[in-house]
Parts: sequence; C-alpha cells; structure tokens
Amino acid sequence: MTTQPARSSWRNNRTLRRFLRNPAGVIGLTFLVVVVLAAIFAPYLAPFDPYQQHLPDRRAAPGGTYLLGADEFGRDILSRILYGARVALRTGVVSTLIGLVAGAFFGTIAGFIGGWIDDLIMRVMDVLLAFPYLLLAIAIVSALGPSEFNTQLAIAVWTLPSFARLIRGTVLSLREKEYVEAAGALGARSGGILLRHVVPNTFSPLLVYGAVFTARAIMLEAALSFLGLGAQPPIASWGNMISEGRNYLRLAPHIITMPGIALALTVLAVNLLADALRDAFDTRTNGV
Amino acid sequence: MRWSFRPTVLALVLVLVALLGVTMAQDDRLVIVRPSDAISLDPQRATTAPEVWVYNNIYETLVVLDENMEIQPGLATSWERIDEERMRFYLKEGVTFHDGTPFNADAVKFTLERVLNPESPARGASWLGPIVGAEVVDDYTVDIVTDGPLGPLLNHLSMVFVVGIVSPTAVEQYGDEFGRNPVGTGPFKFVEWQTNEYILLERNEAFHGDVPEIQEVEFRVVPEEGARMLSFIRGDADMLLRAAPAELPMIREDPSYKVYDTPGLRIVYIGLNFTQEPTGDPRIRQAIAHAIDVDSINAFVVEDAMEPAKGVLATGVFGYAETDVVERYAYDPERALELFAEAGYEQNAQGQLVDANGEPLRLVQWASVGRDLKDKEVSETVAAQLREIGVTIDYVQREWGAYLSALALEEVDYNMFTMGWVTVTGDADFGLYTNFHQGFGTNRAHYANPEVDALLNEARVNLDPEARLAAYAAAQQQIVEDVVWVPIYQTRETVVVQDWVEGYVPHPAEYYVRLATVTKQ
Repeated sequence: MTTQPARSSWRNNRTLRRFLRNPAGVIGLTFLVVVVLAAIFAPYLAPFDPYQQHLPDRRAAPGGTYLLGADEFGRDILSRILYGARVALRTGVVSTLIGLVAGAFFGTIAGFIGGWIDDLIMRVMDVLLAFPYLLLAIAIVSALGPSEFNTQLAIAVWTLPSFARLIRGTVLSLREKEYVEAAGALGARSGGILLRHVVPNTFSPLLVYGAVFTARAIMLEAALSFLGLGAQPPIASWGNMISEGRNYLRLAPHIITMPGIALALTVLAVNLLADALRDAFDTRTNGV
Repeated sequence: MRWSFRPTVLALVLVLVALLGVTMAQDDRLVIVRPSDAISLDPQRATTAPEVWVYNNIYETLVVLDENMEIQPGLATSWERIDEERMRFYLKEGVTFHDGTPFNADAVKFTLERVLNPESPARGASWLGPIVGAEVVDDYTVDIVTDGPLGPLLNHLSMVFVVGIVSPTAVEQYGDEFGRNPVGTGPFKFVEWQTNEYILLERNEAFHGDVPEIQEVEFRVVPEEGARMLSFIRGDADMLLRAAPAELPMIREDPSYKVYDTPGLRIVYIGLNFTQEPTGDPRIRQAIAHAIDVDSINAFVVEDAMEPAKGVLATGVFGYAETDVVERYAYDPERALELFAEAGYEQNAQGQLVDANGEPLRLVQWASVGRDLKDKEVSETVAAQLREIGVTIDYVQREWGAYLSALALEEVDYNMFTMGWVTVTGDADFGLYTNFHQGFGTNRAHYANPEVDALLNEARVNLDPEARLAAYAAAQQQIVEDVVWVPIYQTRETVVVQDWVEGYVPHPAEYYVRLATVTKQ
C-alpha cells in the first residue's frame, strides 16, 4: 500500500512535464482558461446587457461603442459572445459529463461481468453508434422539444456509446493485469477490485476522451442551435448568433463572423488540449 | 495509352451543342426565386401565397380584380343582377382547358360545388359566405345564387384561390392528385414539379387572350434570404420575390435592377387573445399596445420596406376607414406601466411586473418564422420591448407550417401571436368578418363583440356601398377601442427584376404575380 501514492505522484509529474513541453497544449489550455473565466465573469465583463436592443444602432460595425459591432437588433455582439460562452461551456461540460458517467457505468459493467450482459449492452451501443450523430440528435430534440437541457441530453446520448466502448476495452485489458489477478488471489471481492484497482485506472483515458467530446459537444450544440433546435432566442448561443447572422452576410458580415471566430477558436483550443493530454498520458509513446 | 481522336471530338461537339441548347432555352425561360414551395396547386385546397403565386397563372376566375382594385371581366364577359339573391354571368365562348376540355357553365357549376360541398376537402367554403351555388342557364350562361344579398359578390368571385375554375375531367381523372396535376384555362400550363426545388410552367399556345411571349416559367425555391439575394444578384434568376429589406436601398440604386413597388393589402399584426388571461383584461391589452414601439419596429426592423399600419385593414381596401389607432396607442411605456398598475401589476425591486402575491405578469407569445417579412424579428423585438418594462414573456417560435397547424388546435395557450392577413378581395368583408366576427375559424383573437358582429352582418348583406362603408367604419373604430390587434405594418408589394425583364404589372394583392405580359429582352 505504501508504494501506491509514490507511484502515482511520479506518474503525475512525468505526465505534467510531458504536457508542459507541448506548446500547443499549453496554448489550448490557456485559451480555455480565458474562455471559462469569461463565461463565469460575463456579467462583470460584458459592456452591455446582451438582450438589450439598440434598434437605431443595428448592424453597427466593429469598433466604436460596440467593440465587436452590433447585431441586427443593435445588441452588443461582444456581450452576447461572452454570455454565449456560458451556453457553449455549460452544454459541452454537462452533456459530456452525462455521457461519460452513463457510458462509464455501462462500459465497466459490460467489461467486468462479460457474458450475455456484455453482449446486450454493447449491441445497444452499436445501434446508437450506427445512427448518423446529427440525425440522432435532431430526432431526440424534435421528440422532446427544443430547450437547452434537451439539447444537452441529445448530445449526451450521442457520446454515451463511445465512452462505454472505451471503458469496456480498458476494463477488459485491466482485468488480465497481474495486480488485478493478485488482488483476486489474495481474496479481495470483485466489487472491491473493481472500485479500487480497475476504475481508477480508467481515469486517464476518460479525461482525454472527455476533453475531445467536450469540443465536439460544443460544435454539435452550435449546429443544433443553428438549426433552431438548441437554446431558444433571445438566449445568446453562438449557434443562434451564427444562424441569425446568415441573412446579413453581404451587408454586415461581422454579425456572423464574430461568433464564428469565437466558436472556431474554442473548439480548436479544446482539440489542442485533448491532443496534448493524449500524448502526455499515452503509455504507448512513453517508452515504458 | 491509345485513345481514339474522333469519338473525343464528337463528344466535345455534343457537349457544346448541349450547352448551347441549354443557354438558348434559358433565354425563353423566366426564372423566379421565392422563399417557399407550394403545398398543392389545387386552388380549392391550398390558399396561401406560395401556391397562388404559381397557380394564378394556371387558373382563371369569372371576374378579375385588376391592379387598380377594379373588377374586370375574366372568364365571364359580362354580368347582370337578376334579383337580390341571383347574379347572371355570360361566359366567354371557345375557351378550352389545358387538357382540351371545353370551358362552359357546367365547369363553373362543378368548381363552385367542389368548393361548397361539405364532403370535399376544399378550404374556402366559409370564405364564400352566403354563396350557395351555381345554376346552369345554358352552355354559356350561369347564375350565381346567394342566400340573401351579398354586397361583395364580385370581389368574392375574383378569389382564384377559392373559385379558380378547374377542369372537371382533370379533377375526376386525378382525384386527390389533382394538386400535383393542375389543369385550368390560364396563360400558362403545368409541366413539372420537383418538391422544394422548382415548378415549371410552359405557355398555353391555345390561350384565349394574348399568348405570352415567354416560353417557360420556372418558380425556384431558395428559402434563405441571403442565398436568394445572391442567386438573383448573380443573374441566375430574372425575378425575385421577398427581397431582403436591408438590401433594398442598394438594389434600388443599382441600374441593373428594376424594383416594382405597390401598396399591398396585408396587415401584419400582434393579435391579443381575449379568452386567455390576463389578456382578457382590456387594461392589459391597452398597456401592451402602449408598450410596443411600432414606429421603431418599422424603421429599424422592417427597414421602412413596408408602411406603418394605420388600422386593421390595408388602406387600399374598400371599406377601410380612418381610426384613431395610431394616436390612441402611441408608444408610451409610462402609460403602459400605469395601466398595468391599474390591472394589479407593479414593478418590484428588480423591475419585474408582479401582482400583489409576487407572481410575475407572464404572457405567452407565439411567433411565426418565415411567413411574413421579418415576422420573427418583429416578434423578438416586441418581446424585448415588453421585457424591458418588466413583463415576463414565454416566447414560442415555430416555422410557418407548424405555426399554422398549432394555431388551429382546440386548446391554445397564447396571449399574443404574430400573424398577417391579406384582404385579397379588396373588400372589407374578407378582412373583417373573417378576423373579428364571433366564432369565425380565423378569428384567432377569439374576439366576441355583438355590436361588431351586427355591423359586419349588416355590411355583408347590404347592397348599397354607402351604407356598407358606414357600417365598416363603425366596426373598425370599435375594434380599435377593444384592442384586438396591435397592427404593425401594411405591406408594400415589392418585386425585383433584372433590367432585361419588361412588362411586369405589380398587383397590390401579394398573391397575384401575373406573368402573362412579361417579356425578356
């Protein structure tokens, strides 16, 4: 038992050092921290109420009173992007968490118990994976009615099978490890083995996958909002803003460009971070 | 690698010839871009603009409402009143439907019965009011019979989307599929329909009037406003319906386009539901009217592309009377707050309007998307303006098709709804009876005022135009005082064409995009 914490802190340091050596990952992380802070402190940072219309200033160009310009109702785009960051992050994190927890639950059961339970769970997951993800999400939101939570739920359903498969694979390989067999030989109950020796070792792949899916969830939320199936107007969500800006593409391109840039940068940052995490955690590349 | 020279050249030549053929065909084809596809081309079933734009070139009516809102002969050359309940029409001879069926009094009777038959899927029966049927006198003479006198009889008979004359043989032949295989007597006949892509018409060589110069007409669907503008500006289309208001000023200045503009017959409004609390309370309705800044909506959201509404009827409609709606409900948030206070709602510390128990003043607002120009944006602005003075708004927005079916449900929970009404007949009966008479299907405010009902009934059956005008004036003022609608704008019908398009005659009724006289230079 005494070797456990020492081993863990050694690993963390190696991982951390490897992560910090990757500039792309650090840039991604920094940008995300900025986005998260912006989302949290949006009410203090936003120069205007994001819902307040200033009709005479509609489509005002960037610069001047409105740093990033005003939209078709004269609402400040910067303020709306800041508030939109809240929707994006909330959806990204909440839907990924739901998918992750549910996926990990089913994956662990399937991998650890095996047998017909494994078959049943994984076939259901295969069915979910067989759907084109956007169609699946649209179908779920259409059935439940458009709202922020239903969007999150739809995205969670889409992420669930990926998490389940990942965890099942990890659990299957862990089950064969010597220390797990040793714990069994020493008389530990299977529940205890699962919780103490197997589950903790799934954290690193889950973290990487979670980061990747957060990025995809933010994209998917924007896509659904763009189609009118996400957060309902006048809620500032980046997808809504892009969708509404479409009609002014020629006249006032900044209305669509600004939230588009925010979305693109955020997704890029999450992807960079996810890549760096994968490299840092990946046992296949660390030469051990 | 060996390849044969001659087949390649041959193929190239063939491709060139094919390309040339396509371009040549394009010169005779008029391409129109529009926001939404038709649902059916059956004039007795589908009655909104996306259908009528197309089929008012396929079907004709006994009489025609011209661009000056005057009744002109159509398939009937003349008519005379026999008595209070009977009008006789003398039909044009030698007219045939596109399928060769002769047009005669039987076809008129057949069409009218198709509308009035309660078993038929036709939608327009209630719009015909007291018209009960047609009686054939001889092959080319027919009597239209009403139950009691009907003042606006001729206007009613000009509605191509109710009484467009259809070919009896084709209706029998196609049955439910008639809407995909329309057959009329008009200047163009139906060729092909690719749902949500295009509808193709070709000219009717046997047309009884002047045969159109244009060979073919293609109604193309481009739902996105931005994409529609782009495809027109690129020159892919000759005519543009529903131009983006924000881009109209630039288009007007550009000599490569022509803009046809005429005051329209549609009023776009925010309706208030009388049977859903709290909008049953007149003070709440008045307060809402004072809280909506109609002028800035018109200036900044609609971009002055339309006229600010001056009542519940468009000014060009017979029976329109001036009311004090504009002055009476001038934008005045202070006054709105006073009225809300009288109705029991005061602003709390957060500026929210709440009743004595602290319950917020909550209004359910329904908004349509994609029917009327800037309908979604108008609704959003109204919501924002009400929120600004503390009203809690439950905002529900739907695409047009879903919106229309939701409005027709038995149980509706809206306090406010965004809607438009076009008085296509040019007569107040079609604008007022339908929207304000108690129990009428399209009276979506569920307004019921016996005094107004009596005035509308009186104006409907009276054959004296002066008496009808007086009754309509009184009804309109009463409707304004009861705050049934908050009228936002009256349409201006704007059609944009490339400079090579000549001869288009704009019509105040948005439905009537008439193409028979259009040419391409």
